Parts: sequence; structure tokens; C-alpha cells
Amino acid sequence: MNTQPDVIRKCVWPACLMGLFITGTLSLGCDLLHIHLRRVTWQNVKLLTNMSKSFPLECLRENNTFQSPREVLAYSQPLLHRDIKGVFYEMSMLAFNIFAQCTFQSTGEEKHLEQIQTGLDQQLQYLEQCLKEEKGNEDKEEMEEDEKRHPGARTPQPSNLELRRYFHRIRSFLKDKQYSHCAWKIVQEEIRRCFYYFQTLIELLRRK
Amino acid sequence: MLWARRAVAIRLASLYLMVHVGPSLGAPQASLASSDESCIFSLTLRNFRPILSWELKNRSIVPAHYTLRHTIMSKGADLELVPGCANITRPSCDVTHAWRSLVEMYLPWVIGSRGSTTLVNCVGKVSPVLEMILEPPEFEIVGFVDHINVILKFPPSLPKLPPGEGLWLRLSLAIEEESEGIVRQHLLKIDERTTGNFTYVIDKLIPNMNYCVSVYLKSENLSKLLRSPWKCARLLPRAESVSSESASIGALMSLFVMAAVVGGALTVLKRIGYICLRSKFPKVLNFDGVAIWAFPKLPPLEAVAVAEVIHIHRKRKVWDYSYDDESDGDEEAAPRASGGGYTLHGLAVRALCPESPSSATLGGSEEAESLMAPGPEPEPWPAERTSGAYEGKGAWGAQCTSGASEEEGTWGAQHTSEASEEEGTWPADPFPREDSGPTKSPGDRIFFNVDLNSVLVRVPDGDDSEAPAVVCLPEETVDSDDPEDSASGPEDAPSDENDTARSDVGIGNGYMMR
Repeated sequence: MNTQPDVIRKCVWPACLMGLFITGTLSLGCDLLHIHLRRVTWQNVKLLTNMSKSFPLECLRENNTFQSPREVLAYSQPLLHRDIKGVFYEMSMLAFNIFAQCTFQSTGEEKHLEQIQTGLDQQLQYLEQCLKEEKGNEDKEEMEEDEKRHPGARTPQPSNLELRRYFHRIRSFLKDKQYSHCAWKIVQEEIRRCFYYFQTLIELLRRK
Repeated sequence: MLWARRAVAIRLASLYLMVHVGPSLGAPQASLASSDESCIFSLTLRNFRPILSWELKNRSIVPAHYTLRHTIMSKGADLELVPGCANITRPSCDVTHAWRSLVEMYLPWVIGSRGSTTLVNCVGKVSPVLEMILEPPEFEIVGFVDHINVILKFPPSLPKLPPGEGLWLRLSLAIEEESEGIVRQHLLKIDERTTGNFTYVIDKLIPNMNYCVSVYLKSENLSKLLRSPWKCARLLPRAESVSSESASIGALMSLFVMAAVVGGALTVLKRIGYICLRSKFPKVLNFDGVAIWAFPKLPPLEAVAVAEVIHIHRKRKVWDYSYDDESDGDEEAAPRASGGGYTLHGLAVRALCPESPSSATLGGSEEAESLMAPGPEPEPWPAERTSGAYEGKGAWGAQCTSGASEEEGTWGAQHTSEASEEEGTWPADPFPREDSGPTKSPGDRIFFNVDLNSVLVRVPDGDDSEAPAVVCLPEETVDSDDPEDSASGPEDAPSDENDTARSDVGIGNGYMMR
């Protein structure tokens, strides 16, 4: 008796349905970009906040200001919707790379870190899908019309370069402190603040 | 020796500096090193002011004084003393001007002491955006008929901070009203203008219902919410308006019903001719040009008294449906006197009117019927009365002339006679006579049938001793050929009734109806 073909046949149809469902969901999810980004970002903020109940006071001596990128996080500048995807993708990618190098002592902190990395990974996949769709449906004439409607809106634009420099300073701090416990605590707090700023940015765009 | 004294002085000075100046310079580092997490910190937004409070895990330790210091984690600065929170006796402090940003992570440091002894040395970490408790404002409710006034009590002014700063930013106030399990939420935005007391009206409510109201603050980020206790009020019933509406509706309905009833009554009365009679009579009923004498006056109403009728028994011949010669009547029933009942018996009357050809006897029957006129209870006819005289409490109105009889209003008799003369039939004579014509009995008595229902009796004025007056009735002949006359005795009663009925009905037969 060969039951494998029977099992495969039984699972093929549900798998196809699931695939169609997932692709359909993803295709429809790009319309709910703000909701998705806001949910994932806020979840990461809470995870980073609750990762440790206390902050070692001796680490205050090693504290450092990283000069967050103002071009990206300035609320006064109008930010187009299609720029949000690129900015969030860049931020998620850089944060994920930093946390990939993190090592925490307690199991509770490690558990929180895994959840953060999983959330960032899902957000990256979601943004990649949406960016591919946008690239395929991009209409040059619409871009020219946007230029006419919002002259100079793309300059000054949120600079991914500044964002990369910001995260580079964070990586350098970690390297300089030799990935000490206090350095990680400080970086954890800094990235939490970064996520909160992006959360506020999404809310501002949603109101507009 | 001198060098030793200098060393001692230097040590004392450094010690003095360490004790008194050290805490402000960096000596807290040593204190911070010994700090622990023996405190539970909580941040509450009360009247738009963040209040930091702490609670010792070891409640047996009760310091007399507290000193609060803080720093911002991202700044990396030294711990600073919070203004107004040094050597305080209560375990809470207003940090409105110290904690301004929702994004930052604040590190509070509390030192509790009693006298010169440090009892508590704890450090914490507080994130306002996630841990701040939004305390609801105080409010009162006033219920009316269909709405509720919610009076919210806010501070007279907001903390003066740079634009974009303040923990009370981006807040909204939620007002929930609940009635019978149904909850409605009303959302209000709070900004710099939300100061002092103001009233929010919850309208479109149902009168005479119980409503409960609760308020709480909400923020866009997930802060901890604190709902206020429910305050309930019962709305006033809409009695006046309801009664006025019902009264107006009732008045309209009653008017409509009355109008319908009156209209229907008027229609019915008009149909039956009670009102709005036609004034134009047919020409035949127009008696304006007719001489008055043609319509003699009706006699005044007279009291009708009970009269005695003398029954006269008479044998009746049964008609055998043969047209042979009739045998003579044989017996004459003895006249019976009826105490006042109507009778169709032969009534023996003495003729006083010479013009009258004959007097007829009233055909009698063995049975006496009811009296012709209302009066006292009719007396039964005494069977022995044979005088033939008509006796009664009242006497017949005797009129000796036919004209007088006419005047007396013996319409019925006259018409009957006329009708009978015309038609030749006795319409309602249940007591047929054997003879076809008037018979003459000894004593010149004439017997004729009289319908007492058509006879009016005049009551004499107080003179009952006289002989009973004799009525001069118009002549009535009995038709023996009438099938009714040949009816047998036992059948007289029903025939009487039939004749009575016929007399009552048949105007055309000569009898007038009473």
C-alpha cells in the first residue's frame, strides 16, 4: 500500500488554497500598509521597553548620544506615501542586522530579542512585496504629475544615507565598547526611541 | 610635624567635601552603586500633571523623608534633583516640569531617610508612553427630560511647556452612557483650550429612563486606562407633553365622534320625518279653501267610563251551506250585562230617536270581550241581567239625533252604517243575527250590533241615579247571509277576534279605528 500519493493528493488542494490566500492577502495588505507598519513597530517598542525591568546605573557613565537622523524624522516636512516604504525598509534592515549580533545574558531578554527579530523579518518581507508591486505598476506620467502637484516635494527628501549613518554610529559604539552589557543596554534604548519616532511618523501620515 | 598637620587638615577637608558637597558632584555614584530595586514606581496623569509615586516593597520600613532625583536614559546625564521633591514627607512628587517627553525613558532615584539614617535607596525605570496611568477627570451629571448634562471639571490652566512637549499631549476624553445594556461612546479631543469646567450634553435620550455615565482618558498609544465610577440618573418623565398630546388627540377624537353621532342622528331624524318636514303638502291635503262646516269640530276629549253591557243570548243559526229558506232565529240569548267589557252581544236599547227606523240589537255572544274604553276594572257581566238596559258607571252619551250622534263623534257608527249601506256588508260583526233586518221585539225594542270600540261614552256630570242614558246609535243591520253570521257558537270567539281584527284593520269596511 502506498499512502503517500493519497496524502499528497489530500494536501495539494488545501495547500493551493493556502497559497492563493497568502498571495491574495499580501496583495491586499499593501493597501493596509500603515496599519501593518504601525502594528509591528508598536509591538517592537513594547518588546524593547519590557525587555529589562531596570537599567544598570553604572551604565550611565558609558551613555552616548547618537544624533538621530532629523531628515527622516522631521515632522514638518511632507513625506510622500511611497517614501514610507523605502524608509521603513531601510530602518528595519539596519535594526535587524544590529540585533542579529546581539547576545543577552538572561533567557527572558533572549526571548524578547527573538520576537523582535521575527517581527522585523516579517516586516521586511511585507515591505519587499509591496515595493515590487509598486515598481511594476509604477507610471512615469503619474510621477510627473506628482512633481507638478507637489513641486519640490521630493527635495529635500528623507535621506536613506542619513539613516544609514545613524545606524553606523550605533554599530561603531557597540564595537568600541566591545559589545559590553552596558553598550547593549544603551543601544537597546536608542533603537527603542527610533522605533517610537517611526511610530509617531506613521500616525502623522495616517491623519494626512 | 608641620607636614603631618597639613595631611590631617587635608583629610578632614576632603571628608567634609565628601559628606556635604559630594552628593551634588558625583558622590551619588557611590550611593547609586548601593541602590536596589526595592521600590515600585508608578506614574499617574492627574489633571494633566504627571505625578510620580513610589511604594516600598518592604512595607515595614517607613522613612520620614524622601528625596527624588531623576535622569533621562538617552541623555546619559547625572541624576538631578527634581524641583519640589527634596525632603518631602509624602511618597509622591509632581514631575510636570521634569518629565516632558513621552518618548524618553526616565530613571527615578529615591532616597528615604529618617533623621540621618538612610532607609531606602531605590532606582527605577519609567516609560511614560507605556506605563503612565491616565486618571479620569471629575465630573457631575444632571438629568433632564431627554438629555443629560455632563459637567467636566478640568484644571483652570495647563502646564506651561514648550510647544510639542508635555505628557498630556494627544489625549482624548471618552464619555460613555449606558442604559439597559446599550452603551454609547462620545469622544472629545483635548488640547490647550480644554481648561476649566465645561458641560457636554448627551441628547436624544428617552424620558423616564435610567442612564449611567462614565468618563476616561484615551491616548493614541496604548497607555493604561482608568475608567471613572459610573454615575447614574433617572430622566424626568415627559408628563406634560405626553398629557397635552394625549389631551389634544382625545379632544380631536371626541369631536370627531360627536360630529359623527350628531350627523347620524340628524340624518335619521330627517329620514323618518321628525325634522325638516316638507312644507308643501299635496293638493288633496290642502284644506285652505275648504269650508269649515265640512269638517265639524271634533268633540272635546271626554272621560271614558266603564259601561255595562247587557248581554243578550241568542241562538245562532249555523249555515249549512244551503241556500234554502232560512229558519227563523229561535232563541234570543238573554242579554248579559258586562261590567264594562267590550261586547258584541246584542244590546237592547230603547229607541228614543223617531227618525231612526229601528233600533238594532247588538249581536251578542256568549263571551264578553274587553271594554271599549279605559276605566276601572271591567266588571263581569251578570248573567241575570236581562233588562237590556245599558248600565254602567258612565252613561252613554245620549244624543237623540243622528246629527247629534254625529256631533258626538260616533264616526265609527255612522261611517259603519254608511259603509254598510254602501257595501252592504258587516265588516266586523262576529255576532250575526238570525234576522236580516231589524227585528222588533215586544216593547218596541230594537236590537242592533254595536262595536263598542267605536263608541264614545259621555260621563254625565255627577248624576248616577238617573236611569242609564240610552244611546241612540245609528242603525246597523245584520246580514245573515254573511258567512261570519252563520258561524257557530264555539266559533264565535275566534270569529269575534277575527272581526275585531278586521274592525281594527278594515277602515274601508266602515269601522273606524280607535
